Amino acid sequence: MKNAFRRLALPVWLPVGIAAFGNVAAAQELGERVPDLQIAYYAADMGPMYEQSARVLSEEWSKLGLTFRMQPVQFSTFISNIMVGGGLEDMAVFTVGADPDRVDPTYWLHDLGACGARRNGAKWCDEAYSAKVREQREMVDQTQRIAAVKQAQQHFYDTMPWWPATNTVYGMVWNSDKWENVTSPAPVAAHEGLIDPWLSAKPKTDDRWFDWAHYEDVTTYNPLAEEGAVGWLRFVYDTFAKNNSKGETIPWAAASWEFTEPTNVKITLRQGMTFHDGEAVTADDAVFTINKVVELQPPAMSSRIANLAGAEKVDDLTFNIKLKTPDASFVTTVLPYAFILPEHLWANYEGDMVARDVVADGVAIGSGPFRFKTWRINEIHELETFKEHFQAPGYDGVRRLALGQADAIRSAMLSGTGDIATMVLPVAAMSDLATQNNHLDFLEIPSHGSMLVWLNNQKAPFTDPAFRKAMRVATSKERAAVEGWLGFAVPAGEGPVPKQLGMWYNADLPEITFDIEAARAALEQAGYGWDAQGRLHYPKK
Amino acid sequence: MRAYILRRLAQSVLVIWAVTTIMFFMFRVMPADPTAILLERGLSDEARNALLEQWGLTGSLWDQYVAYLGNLLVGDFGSSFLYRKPVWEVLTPLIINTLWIAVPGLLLGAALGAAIGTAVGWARRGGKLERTGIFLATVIRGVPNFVIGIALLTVFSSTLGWFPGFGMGDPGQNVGFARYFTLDFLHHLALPLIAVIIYFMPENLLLMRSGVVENRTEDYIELVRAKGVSQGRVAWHAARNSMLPLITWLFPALAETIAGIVVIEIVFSWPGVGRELVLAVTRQDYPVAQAAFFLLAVMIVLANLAADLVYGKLDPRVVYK
Amino acid sequence: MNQPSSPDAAAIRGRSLLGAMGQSLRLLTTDSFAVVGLAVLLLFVVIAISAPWIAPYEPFKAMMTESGRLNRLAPPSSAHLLGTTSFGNDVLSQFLHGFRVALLVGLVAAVAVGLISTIFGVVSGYFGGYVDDVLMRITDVALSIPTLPFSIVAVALLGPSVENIILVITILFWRNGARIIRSAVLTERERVYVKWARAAGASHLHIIMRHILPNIVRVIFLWVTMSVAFAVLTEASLSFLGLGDPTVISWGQMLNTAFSSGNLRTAWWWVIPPSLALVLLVSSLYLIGRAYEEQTNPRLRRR
Repeated sequence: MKNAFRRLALPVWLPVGIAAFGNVAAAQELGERVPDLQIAYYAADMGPMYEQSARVLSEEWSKLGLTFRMQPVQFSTFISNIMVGGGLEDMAVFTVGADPDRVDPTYWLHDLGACGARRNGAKWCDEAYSAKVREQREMVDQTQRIAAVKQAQQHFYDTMPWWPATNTVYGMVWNSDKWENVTSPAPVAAHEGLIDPWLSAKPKTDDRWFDWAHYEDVTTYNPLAEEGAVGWLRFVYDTFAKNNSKGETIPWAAASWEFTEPTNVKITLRQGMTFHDGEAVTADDAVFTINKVVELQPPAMSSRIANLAGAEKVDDLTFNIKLKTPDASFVTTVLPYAFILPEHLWANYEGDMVARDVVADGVAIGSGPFRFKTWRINEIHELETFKEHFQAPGYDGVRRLALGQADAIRSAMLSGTGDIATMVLPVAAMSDLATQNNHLDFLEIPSHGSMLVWLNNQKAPFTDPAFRKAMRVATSKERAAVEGWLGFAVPAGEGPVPKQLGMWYNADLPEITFDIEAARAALEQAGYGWDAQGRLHYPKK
Repeated sequence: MRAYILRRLAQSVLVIWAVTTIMFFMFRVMPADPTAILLERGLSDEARNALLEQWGLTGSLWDQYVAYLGNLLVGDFGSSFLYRKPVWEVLTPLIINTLWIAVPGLLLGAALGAAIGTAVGWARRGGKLERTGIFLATVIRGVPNFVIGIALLTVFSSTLGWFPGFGMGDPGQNVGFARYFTLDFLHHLALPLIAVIIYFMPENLLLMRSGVVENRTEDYIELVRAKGVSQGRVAWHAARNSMLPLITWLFPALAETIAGIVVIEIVFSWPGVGRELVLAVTRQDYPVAQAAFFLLAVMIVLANLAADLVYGKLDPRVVYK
Repeated sequence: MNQPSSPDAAAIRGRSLLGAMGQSLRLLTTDSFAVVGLAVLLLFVVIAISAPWIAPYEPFKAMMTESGRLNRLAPPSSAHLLGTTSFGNDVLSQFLHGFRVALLVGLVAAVAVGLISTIFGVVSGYFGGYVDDVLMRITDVALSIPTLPFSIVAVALLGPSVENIILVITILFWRNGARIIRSAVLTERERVYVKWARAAGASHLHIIMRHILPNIVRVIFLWVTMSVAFAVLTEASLSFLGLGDPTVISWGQMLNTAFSSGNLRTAWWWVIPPSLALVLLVSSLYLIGRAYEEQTNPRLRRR
């Protein structure tokens, strides 16, 4: 009983005590009270991690004498209103995913930070910085580019417009009684279309179908209309390059590529490839596809193809891709993404190619390692192995079970119906499953997916760099990782670029340690002060 | 009689129009943005507008509304934003899947409920059977359907391992229509079906019991009893006359229950139309969500209409005006 | 009012509304099932009121082990009587706070539903004519809205908060109540003492307040009781589908978290308490409702 009373009394006395000890500025020397701040975060339908993270982070920040209003926002609303709509009120805590194209630093430096960049929802604009991050994009020489990228990170660090709190750790759990050589795709999440673990897995039993217990359906087999940037369709349609588990971009349908000029890439196709209907893959198909894409500008592809000017054939296996401006990120962002359509099945199509129902027309045909077999909406997809492919997997096919909920996925993994699960189940739950069941193995996938803390850089108090830095010092990355993400996230490094990006990350940025007292001291130094209730006030004007 | 039917029909059409309109504006004022996923990946403004235009989301709300109604009149629900194909193609297989658990589940639930309800109603008033029956039925009626699902899954799937815990069939089985006639399908069907039966039975039971209690004191029952026929036959007479309110209640209840099966579909990962509706709402796939909603509303209206007409057919006392 | 003493002054004066309410509440206590239901309900109310004091922890506080790791999915122990969730929250504390949300949503929604359906039902039934036609067409439309799908769409539209959930439930359930109350009013309206009162010059308001309402109070109570149950069920279903208010903790939400984190079948200490509480609450409401039903129709006639 006494304990209960003390627990109740503590939150009342704590701020008063702090105010009594640390208070130097008398009330009349203070400016206005810092108003309540809104924290927007992904609503619970994206998983409870965001709510939990926002809660623990704000708990620490409120020790600076701040009060917060928690505002859950649905994913789509968050994106259109806050990320690209400029509707950030005060603060946001949210994540960006570990997409394969984000292994290039441009996304982190430019897309989320440059003046006027579409996804710069923190509304920070620094012309000198923006010029730097635009320039690095055009540096085809890598050493030079790395130096520029690191310099930009330093600039960002010194200004501190926003910061990452944690890097997401993904996971996968698979049936090790039936499958071996299931390899990690880190730092990219186990997105479909990658080599690892999808193509490298090997069956140990007669069951030679790799069953992926998944949450969602695939929505189309027409790659021109596909919304997922790196989806399942890349199994059916080959791309020019692929990302491997070392984070490198390796030759795939293209045997080699070379910048002959800053805006011209010469690409040589691999020899002996065929489409699933037996026709050979030639430079004509690649040129046809790229020119069609440039002509049609399918909305779903717009972010990746915006810089493409067109393609022209050199010989049967060689062609040139023309770029509008020099683009150093072309290799990592476009080559593993752009696909090859069979010209003979598409050239004479009269209707709207983007809207074509390729399954109904029987032309879900590419040259990829798997051939389309069946699709029952919201239930199952089956792709069978295309044996003639140069990297055909050592099993008969892959199935995607659209189970729609975590409990079914868990049950599928336990019963042996599912061979691998990578999504939906929280990583902690996957890890638990593997610990409790001998036939399941678990692998952590540390990724560059990041949870970011955004501030509205155009609104007080965030217009004050001293305030931003104090908030940064009061950000408990550790608690967010442990309590928000159940330990399946790691505290992020300094600067906007995730440290998982290896050579692109500026490891020289000094680490800022979490310290509430230091943050309060910094605020005091900048002229802020606290009233008798312990609430933070602006400096006197 | 004919005039009455015509008037009721006209009324039904009006009601459907009103529901459609409410629904249309609800979806359009939704603050959500169906292009969000693409935006997050860097969709440009021009491309976004092109997409919105293609989906018929540009122009004034009124124009969109008129276009929508026009399409609806010819049975065109438009195309799914997500699947990029006609909504009909997306929904038809899912509707069939839902009917597989809904129809047998509701019929069995109603039949079982009616049978037990007759027994309870015919039992001695205030006796043990009556009191237990009423108590159990009321308690079971209070179990939310997802709790029924969770309980069934935990007991029969994870603990005993008798039934599979999700989906409609093991992968790699028959495709096409033949799949509905495999043991594998029936095996998967069992648990969700039982869940629907349990969900639907108690109300039938209580209703039937009330009807029987009401009828057993009527003169004609005494008459039948006086003829010296068996207890069972007498009970049957009382039951037959209690069917009437049950049947009229059944139609709207059927429709409403089908709409409520959403939750059971989700718990059991049953690829039905209800699950698709929930997914479509979260994915901002309005055309699919609207169509599913529309079909459910039409079903309810038709059920109410049928109930009225059947009531008149069965009960000679009703005179149509 | 000065009224002629014949035919019967008392009949014309009617009954007081409060008196009728008290009487019908007293009648409840004669039904043993209803007494069980009332007892459970009372217990739930007591727990709901005292939840913040008896809950051992903050419902969202993450519990840590001594080694500084999150204390996830711990089975019941003396420190955590009902164990912990996969987020290291104390199940008992969440469970106790769930009582508040369930009853808050249930009672507020039911009162709103009761009020609206009574107004609709009485106006429609008592005045008849065009008013009745218009109001009944509106209920026709409302009745054709599929309940759960509508709430899913509406909550997704308005945003998940307790207020919006209550609003949606109110929009949904007034319609059936209006129908039932209207037909009760139709019967009462034809009673002979209403005609007398009318002939004696009583105002509409007087007749409604003293003659109609006191006699249909059981029907209203029945509907309000059922509405509490429907509201609790609807809130639980929505929360279970992930459309609950994320800033409060409800039973449906606890089950949703267990379900969406894939712990449904193992963490029994996390799943059973909210399920059981839901069943108990809704069943006891139905038991009370049933007693009203028996009262309203001695012959158990429905419709």
